[in-house]
Amino acid sequence: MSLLIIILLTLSQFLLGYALLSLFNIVIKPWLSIAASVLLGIAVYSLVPFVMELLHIRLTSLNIFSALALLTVILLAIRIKRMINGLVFLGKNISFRLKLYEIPFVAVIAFMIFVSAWRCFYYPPTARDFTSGAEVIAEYAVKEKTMVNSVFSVNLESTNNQFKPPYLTCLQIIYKYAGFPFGQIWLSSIFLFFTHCRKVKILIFATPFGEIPP
Amino acid sequence: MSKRSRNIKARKTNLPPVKNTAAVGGLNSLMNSFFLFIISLFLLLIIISINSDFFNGRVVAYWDAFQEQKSELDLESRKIERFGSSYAVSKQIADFIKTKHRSDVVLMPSTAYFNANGIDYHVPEPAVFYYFTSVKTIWQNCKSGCNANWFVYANNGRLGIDTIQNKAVLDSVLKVFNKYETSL
Repeated sequence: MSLLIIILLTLSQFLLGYALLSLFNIVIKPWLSIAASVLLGIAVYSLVPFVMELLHIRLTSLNIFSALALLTVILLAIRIKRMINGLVFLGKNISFRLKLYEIPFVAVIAFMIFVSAWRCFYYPPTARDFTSGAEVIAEYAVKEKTMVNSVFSVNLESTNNQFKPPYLTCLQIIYKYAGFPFGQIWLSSIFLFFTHCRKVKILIFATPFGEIPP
Repeated sequence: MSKRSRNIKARKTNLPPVKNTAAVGGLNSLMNSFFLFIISLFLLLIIISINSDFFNGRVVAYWDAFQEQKSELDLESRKIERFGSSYAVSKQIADFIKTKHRSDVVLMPSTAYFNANGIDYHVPEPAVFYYFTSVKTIWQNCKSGCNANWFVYANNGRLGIDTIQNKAVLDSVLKVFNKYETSL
């Protein structure tokens, strides 16, 4: 079930991002456009609950997912013809060829990504920057349906993390509503599609030191 | 060896020239791929052996943990496993406070205080304590006025919780707590 939700969220992020690429008439290589679309989609997702909060709309799951769906439809509708042509072009030109000598590296990298994603799903976040800022605000935003919540009535002399930009808080809220009690899965999506934008050789050497949470 | 040099060599040794047919090309390509596959395997082994500490500590160990974790999906046990005693002890304190059915604030001493009194408890900062338990706390060095109703103390290696009834009690508690430095 969780896997299905991740796939659906990623698909909707792709659509939202691809609509933005079409809107600005940005033409890039097929695989790169998929990765860029998902990353763009995640970026737009990270703004939606914040904008809703500014408009004094309650942050219920229905409101948030309706707003995301509405935004996707509006962006798709603006340049619908260009977007359909782009998707058809993408479908015709996309190809996936893996050479024999690439298989061992791809297998190891896929294994590491899986382990990393599992830990993002299984464990709550531990970084103090996160638990005393974005995470606690998101947790109580889900409970109290607003980002201006009871966290700000707690003694916050020991931290300034509550003043950090609300992008991560917004993503945490969306993913908590989507059924992931600890959010965080967006981190694996960003990692996967960001590294896809890079060359494989960078991925091979960068991955062991960067991504898997302790 | 190029085609031209192979033909010259064949002429010298009176052998028929090698024909570059599609089958020969395909076979060469397959051999090249297989050769590169073997090289990539060796290269991967070298990279893994260079980063063996990382690979054993982070990837293999986490895979082993995954085998157990996939059947243990209870949220509370996942939090306890991740946050350790800091979470478990905070929850015990909060459970006691919540039984009083009042919106209370708890004065918490520092981690150094508990360690000095034989209790292994890392005191989370107020925001994190609130994240763990929904109970509001303050530290002993609070600057915006200590408006706590309860305080937590160590008693012969065990935790104790008591009320702060008046300013005299608060001052005497703060006098003890402030001997120890607060750390995040």
